[in-house]
Amino acid sequence: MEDKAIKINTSNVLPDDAFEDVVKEKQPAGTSYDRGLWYDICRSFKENKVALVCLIILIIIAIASLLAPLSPYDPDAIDATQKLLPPSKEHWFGTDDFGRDYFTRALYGGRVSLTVGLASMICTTIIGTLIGTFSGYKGGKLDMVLMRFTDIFLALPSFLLMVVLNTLFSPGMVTLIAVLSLFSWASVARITRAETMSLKQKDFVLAAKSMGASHTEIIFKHIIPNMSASIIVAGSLGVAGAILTESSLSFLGLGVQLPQSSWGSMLQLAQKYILDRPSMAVFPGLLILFTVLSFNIIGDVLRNALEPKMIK
Amino acid sequence: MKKFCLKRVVESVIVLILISFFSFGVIELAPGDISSMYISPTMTEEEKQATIEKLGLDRSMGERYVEWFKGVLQGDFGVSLSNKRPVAEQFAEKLPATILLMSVSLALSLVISIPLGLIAGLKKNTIIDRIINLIAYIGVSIPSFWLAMVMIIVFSLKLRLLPSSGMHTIGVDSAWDTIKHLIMPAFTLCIGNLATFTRYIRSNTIGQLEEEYVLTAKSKGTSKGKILFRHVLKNCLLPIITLIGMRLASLVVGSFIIESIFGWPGLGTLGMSAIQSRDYPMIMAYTMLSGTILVLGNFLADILYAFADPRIKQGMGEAHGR
Repeated sequence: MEDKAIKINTSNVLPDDAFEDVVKEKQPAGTSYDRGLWYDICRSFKENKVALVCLIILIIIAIASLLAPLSPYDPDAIDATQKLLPPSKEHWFGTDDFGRDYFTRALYGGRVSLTVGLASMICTTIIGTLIGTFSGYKGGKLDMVLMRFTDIFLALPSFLLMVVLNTLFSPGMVTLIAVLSLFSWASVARITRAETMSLKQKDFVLAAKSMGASHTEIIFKHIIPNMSASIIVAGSLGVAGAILTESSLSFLGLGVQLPQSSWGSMLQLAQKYILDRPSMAVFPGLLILFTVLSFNIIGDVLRNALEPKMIK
Repeated sequence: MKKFCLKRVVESVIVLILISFFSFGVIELAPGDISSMYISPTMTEEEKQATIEKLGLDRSMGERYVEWFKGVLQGDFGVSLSNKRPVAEQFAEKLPATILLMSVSLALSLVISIPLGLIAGLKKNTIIDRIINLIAYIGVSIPSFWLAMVMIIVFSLKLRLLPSSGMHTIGVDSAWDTIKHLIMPAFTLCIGNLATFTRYIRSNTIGQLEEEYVLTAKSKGTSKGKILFRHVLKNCLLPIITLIGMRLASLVVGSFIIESIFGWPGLGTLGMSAIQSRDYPMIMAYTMLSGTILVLGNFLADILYAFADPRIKQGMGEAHGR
């Protein structure tokens, strides 16, 4: 009894604004339906410092690659007197076997690697989403045939086939993007098909149908926008995979051809001079590692942040 | 169960036939004439004609495919262009080295990932978990060929601890020597699997620890270690079976960069040099063989998994997607 009395007393003593604070804290955050996709994405970056660091790393690498022409060195200028120099003030990453500034070449290489990664991710996503959505929406026999087809692509020894294809056809950026997309759309198609199967039974799709919306309208206006969360996640992880594969292919000399370079082809060169100048191997590798790592972590963080929405 | 097995068999056969189309077709579609690889400018016109006929290049693509595929079914992959020896023979020679490397690397990844995954799962959301998680992220993000180069720089060039290439030192024939040669390629190859396995085991451990049987065991006074190793670990390893099946295959297929960097005298190095020298019969055999191993690995993994966990027997077809 005495305890209760004390409690009531103390609560009376508290100033009014103390209560307001509690009320403010208890305000419901709203269901995830009320919030936009952007809000969710921004919030997950705010909450997860590691993801924020990754995003910053990516932005720095992207801007540096974009601003590559500002470098005082020509990436292709050959200078026989400046061969294989160690890192110094003038040449931050040193020079390569033709006396070209390694840092500048790494920046231009970043352009190639990022372009190939992003472009093949976009192609992969478009092809995968179209096939997956179409298959899931139509259902029936067509769905079965398309999904078996997808399964087969998932079961192929893709990296080996990519190597063979790139060897036999003239290597270059377009070949790279085409080959990478050819072998990675299948997993996106699987994901989007599963989502379409559940989305097409949702009330809003039925409502749209009853209001006379055409199939195309339903697919592009209602189903695809509602899967954007999973598409974004698949995209982020897809870029990581594409950049990693591109670097392996370029390392084998199957990427962009000289004088152009990418991080992978720089490593191919570095392997040749591994005895004389091991530092040449360090920088492009670190750039690949940081880029791929960042895309992977961001993809996973987004998946965790957006998953409640996907499950609902 | 029978129906499921049958379905997977049919699927695998279709995939294999498609891979054979692909292995054969890619070479046919490649720019440049195949016969140019066999014909030297010094040959007379008649000799050239004879070579083309001998190769069967005067017949249609379909006929040649059928003939090639018949040979493949009998284990005859033709003759290598570079050294004129039967392809199958060369593959058989290189297989033991690859199998040794693969099994060591797979064992290594399991030995490291099981404790790491268990600890991370037990200490969920602590600093230890975060560190292990970061290691796993790095494992999936690191280009393996670059890791190989860095390891060569550190352990062979700087510290002079390990040999940088080959399988034996010439003139030395001891197990220790082979082990020293094995360490770097096996570790480089295992890093990707290591990361994947660790993440799987971590999330499985977390899931299993929430199950009611753990609570029951606890209430009966079973010790923590016993719960972990007797019950949780057993259930965690189940999904790993599938992964191992898939990974074993991709190890055989995907190791050619690593093998050739370390000069490991296995299938990968052989395949790599075949691709670089455009040794068509060899490339065809290599893609076909890799595809077969991959399909077999996936197939066995699925079947084993279904046997190990009766709950999966139903609806396995849907669970096939990754």
